Amino acid sequence: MADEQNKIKEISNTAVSSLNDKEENNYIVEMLNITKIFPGIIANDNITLQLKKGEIHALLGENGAGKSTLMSILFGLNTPENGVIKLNGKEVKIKGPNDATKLGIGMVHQHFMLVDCFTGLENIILGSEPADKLGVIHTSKARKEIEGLCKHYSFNVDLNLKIQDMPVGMQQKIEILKMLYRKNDILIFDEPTAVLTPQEIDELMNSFRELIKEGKTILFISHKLNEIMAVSDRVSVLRKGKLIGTVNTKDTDPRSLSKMMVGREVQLVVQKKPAEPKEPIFSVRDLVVHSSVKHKDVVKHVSFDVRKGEITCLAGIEGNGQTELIYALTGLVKQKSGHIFLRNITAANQVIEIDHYSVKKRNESGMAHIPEDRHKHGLILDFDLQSNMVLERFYKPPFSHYGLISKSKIRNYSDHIISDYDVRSGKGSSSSVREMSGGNQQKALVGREIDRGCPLMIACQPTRGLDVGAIESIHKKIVEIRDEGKGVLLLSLELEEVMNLSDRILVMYEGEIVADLNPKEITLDELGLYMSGAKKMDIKPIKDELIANSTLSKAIVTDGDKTMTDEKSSPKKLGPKEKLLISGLDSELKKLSFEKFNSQNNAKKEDK
Amino acid sequence: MTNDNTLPMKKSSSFRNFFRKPAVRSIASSLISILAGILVGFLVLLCINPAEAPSAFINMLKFPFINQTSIASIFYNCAPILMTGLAVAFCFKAGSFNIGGSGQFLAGATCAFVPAIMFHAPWYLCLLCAVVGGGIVGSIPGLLKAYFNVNEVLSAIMINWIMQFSFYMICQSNTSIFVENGLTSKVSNVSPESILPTWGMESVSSNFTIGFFLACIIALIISFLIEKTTFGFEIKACGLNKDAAKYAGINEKKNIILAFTIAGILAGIGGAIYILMPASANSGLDVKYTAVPGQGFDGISVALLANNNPLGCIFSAFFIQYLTYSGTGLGSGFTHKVPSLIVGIIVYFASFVALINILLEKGIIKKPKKRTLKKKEVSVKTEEVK
Amino acid sequence: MITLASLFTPDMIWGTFIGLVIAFAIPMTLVAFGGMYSEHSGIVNIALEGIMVIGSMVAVAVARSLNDVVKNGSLPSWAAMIVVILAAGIGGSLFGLLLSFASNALKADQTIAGTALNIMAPAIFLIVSTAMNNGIETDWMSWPSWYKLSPDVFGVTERGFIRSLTTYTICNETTFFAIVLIPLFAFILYKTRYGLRLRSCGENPEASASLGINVLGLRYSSGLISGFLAGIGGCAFTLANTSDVYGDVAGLGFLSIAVMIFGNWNAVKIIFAALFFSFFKTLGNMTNILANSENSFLQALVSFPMASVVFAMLPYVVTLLVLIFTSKKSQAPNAEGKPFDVSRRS
Repeated sequence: MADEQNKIKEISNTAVSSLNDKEENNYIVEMLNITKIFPGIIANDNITLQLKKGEIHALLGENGAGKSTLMSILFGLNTPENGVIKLNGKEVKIKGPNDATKLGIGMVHQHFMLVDCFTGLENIILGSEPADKLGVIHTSKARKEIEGLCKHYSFNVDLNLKIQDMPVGMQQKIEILKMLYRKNDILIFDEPTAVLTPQEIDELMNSFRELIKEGKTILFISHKLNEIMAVSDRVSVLRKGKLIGTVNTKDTDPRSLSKMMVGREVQLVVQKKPAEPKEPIFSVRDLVVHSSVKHKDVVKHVSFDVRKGEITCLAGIEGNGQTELIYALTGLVKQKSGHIFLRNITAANQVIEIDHYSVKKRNESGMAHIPEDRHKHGLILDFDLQSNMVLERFYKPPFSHYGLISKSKIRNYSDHIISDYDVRSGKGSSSSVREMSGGNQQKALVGREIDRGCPLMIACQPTRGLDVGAIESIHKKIVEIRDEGKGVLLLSLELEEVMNLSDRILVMYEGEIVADLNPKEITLDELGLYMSGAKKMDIKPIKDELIANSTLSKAIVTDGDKTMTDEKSSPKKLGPKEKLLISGLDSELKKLSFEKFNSQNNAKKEDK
Repeated sequence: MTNDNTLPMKKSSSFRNFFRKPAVRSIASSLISILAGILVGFLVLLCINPAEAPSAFINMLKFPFINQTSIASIFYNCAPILMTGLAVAFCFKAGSFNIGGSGQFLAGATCAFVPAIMFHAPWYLCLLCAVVGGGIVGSIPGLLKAYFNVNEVLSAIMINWIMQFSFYMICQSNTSIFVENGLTSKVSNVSPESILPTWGMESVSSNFTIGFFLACIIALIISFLIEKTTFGFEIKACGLNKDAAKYAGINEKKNIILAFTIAGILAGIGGAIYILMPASANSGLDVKYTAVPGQGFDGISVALLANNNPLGCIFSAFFIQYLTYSGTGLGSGFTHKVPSLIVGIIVYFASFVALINILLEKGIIKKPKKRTLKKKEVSVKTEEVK
Repeated sequence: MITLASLFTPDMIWGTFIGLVIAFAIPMTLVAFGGMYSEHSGIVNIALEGIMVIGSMVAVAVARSLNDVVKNGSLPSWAAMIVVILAAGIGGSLFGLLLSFASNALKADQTIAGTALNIMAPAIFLIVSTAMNNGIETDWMSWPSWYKLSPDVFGVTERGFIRSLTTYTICNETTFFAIVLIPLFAFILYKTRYGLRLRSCGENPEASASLGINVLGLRYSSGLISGFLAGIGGCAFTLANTSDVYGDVAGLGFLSIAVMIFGNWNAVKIIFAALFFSFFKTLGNMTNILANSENSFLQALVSFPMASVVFAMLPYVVTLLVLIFTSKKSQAPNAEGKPFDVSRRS
């Protein structure tokens, strides 16, 4: 057995080294036959990845494919069971981040490794502080050096700000500066654009190009096909721990990559018949929400309706008030002023004002909600699955009578959700949720909320972090409940989801609704303009009987009519931020357009 | 079935499966903590006086069982710390550490003591007053946590001391009736109707009041409350994930206040049981303000040893009381505080019970062999990818 | 008319008062610093009370065992004093190591482990004090005579303000240590490489680890520092409090935690917080003396029933009020209380 194994190793090693002989000088980093096993799972299965000097190499794969594990091995956070890493042809051992740094390898993680209450400068020098023999830190030399780097790469960074006061894009620059300060040449980025605005994404892509010019090599992990197509030279695709293949970006297209990634044909467009909206079920009037963290009103006089049989989507760049709006609608946060109504729930023309309803009462009145953060708000990880499935209903029959819980009824219900929504877990209903995968946790959560059968569903980022297969099934279910006549309020940051899943788009910018759009009647460009605040629709504040009859109506201040801004006739004065936003969004939309064009093209091809 | 990269689970024998059960694991880990504590205690005795240590140690362990009276004394004396143990355990289930057991205990004792001495109130009224007093004092850390985000450990410590000072001032306000030789006056001398009844147990020992049985019944009630009621479900949910509980509509403020109030009531009853004992049962409370009663901290030991299981608290309270009592059986040359050290060590071990659980898992169940790759497993079954 | 003169005359009473305020503020500051170091590295340290007890125990035990050596002159008394205080610090460090070990290696619940130490400490003290008294059970130990300084040694013979002040400040050997240790450890925390890395471990240990910082090593070293400071604090406290050493520091360990919180985990603010609390504690201790003094201002302060108890209680009440008003915006280190697991799956 051991001989066999050694033989295999020999053969594969010679095979790889003969490959090397041919293209000797090109590879700066080679990860050869890397295998990493965690208890019960082969995270990396004999993967060989070779990086050419000066290229931008993308690593593509779904959740759980093994991308982060592979990179953590390169950065020294994990050691492989098998395999060899070579740097410029020489074999090296990387036992920890210090080794990696010494070899010139640096990594920016998906969740930034920054100390929030330290300044930018302190974060950059942490671990490599300029100090004298006694250990006392002297920052002046380091500061000069870093400021030089900022100038060179056109980074707009304030080194004296604390991380917690910096925008996310600047925080990422600090992470990049950390690597540059340590003279890293091989830069690894793990899902770098997950938290950035389109403007910041564009800045990052530009930075990539600058870094390459300086002779760096970049390796970035992503599951966003459009970014990979736009900026990388080569792509390696991982699936379930194995390397499927490495291709040149210009020789491939999103559809093929997607196929490699998933292993089957994937619908990039949601199949649904047109919506048949009926009377409104949920109305918001003049809502204002204040944020004590940001010290300002983050939702400003928002009014809209959600209709039965229609999926209304709140779109916008993250941070424009959507999260706080949802918190106010679901009852987690008290609004500053304004009214929220449930209508036509049990009888026609019925209006219930729910401003002061507790979360519990809103749940009971017919509101279901899928929270953005499933670990924080959605599930209790240390409870078993069945208890989680009745979190909102455990105190009502049939799950409990006279205050006593009926475990068997809860279990039956949980089994039903598991089978209906394809939730996979180790021990079924009695599994601990903590041990389930993220995708299955989300499916269970979505299943719980949909199965409640509530007339109103508020779904926030329902497919965040899920692989394409799971996304498909959840989209299907949402369309199903829409067709049953329920009202859906969707909050999504994925433009694909916004354009394809929703029937109506409400764009939020800086706390206000600036557009009410039909996805079939607009282009991505237009959507982008509204999202970046360059364009505003004429939305008259709704003055209907709801406000007049509200028992708590206060004097409602209206901002006067918002005039439509036409770029040609009366150009709105665009500040630098808006300009950057537009240009950033443009490129993002271009990538999407390309993809949509492609998919339409392919659809056309298949029709023939 | 899609090609998977998970490895098949090894099937283990029923023997191993027995030790995988969480209940068995937690009892086993408690036993290990106890053994560790006793071992270290023995080592300490050895260090002090190697020659006499072994016999002294055995005598110490045997001491409480010499006669029926001694054994009975363990039962009726463990009731107060059983109650404070329940107070700590219940709060742990709700996600908070109740270090205020001493203050709540004292509040209950004071509220039972004063009506007894001053008004010769019957025992059930004294008990009721203790419930109110303990509940009020216990609720304070909960209220402060819910409305002001005050760390409950710190507020409870301050309240322990404030309660001690208050108790002192109350006693000093009328020393003639309240204080006797620096301790609280014997309730049985002043007002026999305030003492908890014995209801037939006097044949075993004249000190054997219903206190112990009352405490056991309350333990049963608490256990039922946590496991079988919606209230228990809410408490556990808040303890494990406050945010998710809130999102699900559970009022986490209400629950933490209730949890602490109930804890206060439990510890307060413990205090009442303590003070409403016959004269020969215990010496009463020290009337001074340089230290707080130790029963609150013993309660922490009780709860930890029982892994916060209310029924388990009955056993751990008995054990800790036995251990404390055995210290008096240590001859001269050793201090009777050795059991206190043993208890401290047990708590220390109990603080990393999670690790002990893991050790148990690894010791009884073999560590899975490092999977070396065999050619067959590295399956080359690729799907059609064009 | 109230003049400064009528409020304050430099007499014995004021000397004692100010002296005691400083004498109590010093251990509070030292112990609070100990807590601060520990918490800045991410370990919640409830065991300060127990460490203080052990520190004072080691100090007295070492002092008594050095008795012969000092008496026959082979070791000058000032050197012996230094040894005693360092021993207190080292004893505190070692005892605190139990908490570090439980928290870092065994991933224990830090509050529980700390409570365990608090339970163990008085028991250990009692065992040692009994052993030192030849097996007769005693719960106190007395300082040897050469350890107790009197102002006469410094040439202050006349009774009055200076003498009283000296008795409680300069005659307490730990004061000299404190004058050096307090600024030193404040400087280390904010201006050195070690301090920066330490603070990062308490805020974001994953980030520190990704930069190659040895998080567990730093947590162990800060645990040693924390125990060292608390041990010396315990030694300082006992000398200020009573002439003999009891295995009990009357809740000062917990009061020091309150000082740390009041001081928002900041070294300079902690010093002021300690002085503030020490003021009230001294009022409580000195109530009887002040009631009988000729100073009308001080006398008025204490002339109500059970004044001594009220003042003794006051620090705890004030702390509770402070907790209520400051807890909403506290600056506690982010990652404190959570064990750091090096072997995570990325």
